[in-house]
Amino acid sequence: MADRSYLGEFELMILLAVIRLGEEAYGVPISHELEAHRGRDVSVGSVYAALERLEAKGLVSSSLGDPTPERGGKAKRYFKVTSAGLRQVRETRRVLSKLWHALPAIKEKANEPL
Amino acid sequence: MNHSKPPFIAAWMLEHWMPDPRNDALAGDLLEEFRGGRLDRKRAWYWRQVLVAIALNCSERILNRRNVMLFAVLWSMLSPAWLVLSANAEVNTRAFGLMVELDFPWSAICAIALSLATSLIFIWSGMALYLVFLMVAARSFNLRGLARNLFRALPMFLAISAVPYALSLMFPPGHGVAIDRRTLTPLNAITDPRTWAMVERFFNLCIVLYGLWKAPRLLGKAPERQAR
Repeated sequence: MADRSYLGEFELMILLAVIRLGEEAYGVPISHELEAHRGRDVSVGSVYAALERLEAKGLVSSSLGDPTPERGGKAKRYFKVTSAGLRQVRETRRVLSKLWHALPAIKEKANEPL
Repeated sequence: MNHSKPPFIAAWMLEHWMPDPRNDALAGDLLEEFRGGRLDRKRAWYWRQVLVAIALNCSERILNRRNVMLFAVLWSMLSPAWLVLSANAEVNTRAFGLMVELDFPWSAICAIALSLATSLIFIWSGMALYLVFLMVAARSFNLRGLARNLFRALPMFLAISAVPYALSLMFPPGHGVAIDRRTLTPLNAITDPRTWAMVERFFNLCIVLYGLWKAPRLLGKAPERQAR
């Protein structure tokens, strides 16, 4: 049975970005991916805050890469969507799709004279 | 100015004010983007990123400890009632009568010690109440953890307790609103608007908050998100 704790808008966007980036999903590319699709700035700190919330829920997992000199000797933290995370994304898409498909019917009803 | 290095103060803030697991990866990401990214105003961008990250971290920490904050606010609101109760108790005890009869400086030393002891009893009672409630909820009794939490607040208590004495020296009696505590009941003391600005309330709030801030960790519990 699907988990009923639905994802927030920003969390869902981050999960989708992590899935799309695959092996290259760490802070900077994730924030670039979000900026490209949202059309506005995304702070790297807010990306990490959301990723840690998702990790606490078991929807993503993280692992450290090798430290590199251009990063001041700091390692990259790579993120990967877990199977629970994938299930959650599918469930959210299913619910959102149902809601979107229900919209025309609502519009027609709304246009009807009272 | 060396543009390949991020602003020193911002980098220091990031290193010292962010929790460890997030700190390193975030610092590396920001440095990578700062050095290699196509940013127009690099230094402003770096500052903005650091300030947003720190603000988010602070708000998360406060949200994670909302129960502690609520309890500390409620408990510190009871401070005026405790002062009325302790003032009444002092007047009615024989030891207090003996203390007044002592010569200077012993009378002053005893008065300060009594005042500190009554404040400490109030703060420790509140902390103990909260910690026992935490332990009952977790069904795990840890008396050493309880004692560790109580004693953790002691240095802060002593440091903060020096402030009212310094204030009373700087602003001798006659400033502010005079309240005759003998005419108040404990309930009146809490609800009387003249006591709302009492400096003791704020001090007690700070000490209880400080003492309980790391309570779950010191009790051996890890309910907060960062304790994965």
